[in-house]
Amino acid sequence: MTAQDEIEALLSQVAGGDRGAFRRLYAAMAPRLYGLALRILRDEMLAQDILEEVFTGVWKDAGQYRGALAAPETWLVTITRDAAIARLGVERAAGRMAGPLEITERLYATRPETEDLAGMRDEARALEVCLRELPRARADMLRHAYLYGATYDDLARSAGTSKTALRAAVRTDLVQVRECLSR
Amino acid sequence: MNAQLDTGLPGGAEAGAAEYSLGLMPKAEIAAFEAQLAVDTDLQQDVAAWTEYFASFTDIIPAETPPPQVLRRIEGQVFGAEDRRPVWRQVLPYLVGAVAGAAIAWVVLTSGLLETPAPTLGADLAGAEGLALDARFAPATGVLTVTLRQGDAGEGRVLELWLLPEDGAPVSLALLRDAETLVAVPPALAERLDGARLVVSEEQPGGSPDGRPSGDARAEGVLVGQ
Repeated sequence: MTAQDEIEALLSQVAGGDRGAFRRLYAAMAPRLYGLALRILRDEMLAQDILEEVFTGVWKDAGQYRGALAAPETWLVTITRDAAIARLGVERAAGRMAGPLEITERLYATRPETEDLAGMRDEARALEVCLRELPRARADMLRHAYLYGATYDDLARSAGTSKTALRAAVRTDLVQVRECLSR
Repeated sequence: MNAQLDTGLPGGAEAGAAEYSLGLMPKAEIAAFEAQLAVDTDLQQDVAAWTEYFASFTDIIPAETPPPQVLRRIEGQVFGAEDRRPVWRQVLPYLVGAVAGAAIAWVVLTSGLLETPAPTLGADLAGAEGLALDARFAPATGVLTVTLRQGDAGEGRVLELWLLPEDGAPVSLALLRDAETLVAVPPALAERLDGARLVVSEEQPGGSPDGRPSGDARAEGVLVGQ
């Protein structure tokens, strides 16, 4: 059984109300999801809230997982990312947290090095290779949107360009990346 | 197609699927996009593919062990409401342990641990320099709970837990960064835990560089039936 199959099996047991499976799923996935929430929110209490939100949701909604459309880990990562980004939005709107582009080192902290490529799984490597065909700053915008919830407004302000122009450029980039990924 | 694609922007629905998956799609366009998504299987596959790719952005983010109370809070929420047994019946087996009364009450209210079948394997791990831990394995859940009782790793070092099978190479089980660490033991390994020797070594921050315990064991013990 691959790790993937195992997570999937655990999810279906959790959907059936299996508490042991729930704890195994937690032990298997919580560190990765907590690491992700911490990276996005940079706050342990908030990240713990997110983990709580995600796993209580998983207990209720594990039956909604559809294997055909997403790998089980991706499903959990996506739920966690979305919850963390939503919380980040709330914290920012309340003025308790800085905007996504005010800390420029974040731009550089998340980009893998060339020597890391070999160790990546296929999807990650393919995406990374294709992103390298884009201007570096624009590839970073995609990371920024995903990992820090940057909006077109944020990105345009930081790039000093109009939102419309930036969006057109990003969409063109995305089509190019999609073509690259299909090769 | 739908309104959001008529904005004169390049990329059409394909770029829209990527924007949606990235979280870049402007809020005003999301409802129309999702309406389309609900009926368009090609678009669903596009979103699924992008979601898979973009989720890989998170691969390089290091995992972090959440503090043990998070699982307790979660279990309190998801299992708590379902407990119907009288509290004293749930608590009784646990009174045997030398735990302070206040702590027990807190565990009862918040942990959901009471639903765990009694751990059937346990080990006290001790070493010459005063490091003490205990390990409890619950076969029903496959989770090994390791609690640090006394001592810690040296400055800038980390404790690593190993399973030393009678035959074969040591198996790294976890880095023990917190007072309590939960380890999901793979079923194949779980079968070999009865009588197995657990060893704690001290390692550089990322763990042992060569997949074997470094130096002398800081603590060790044998898992036996409880």
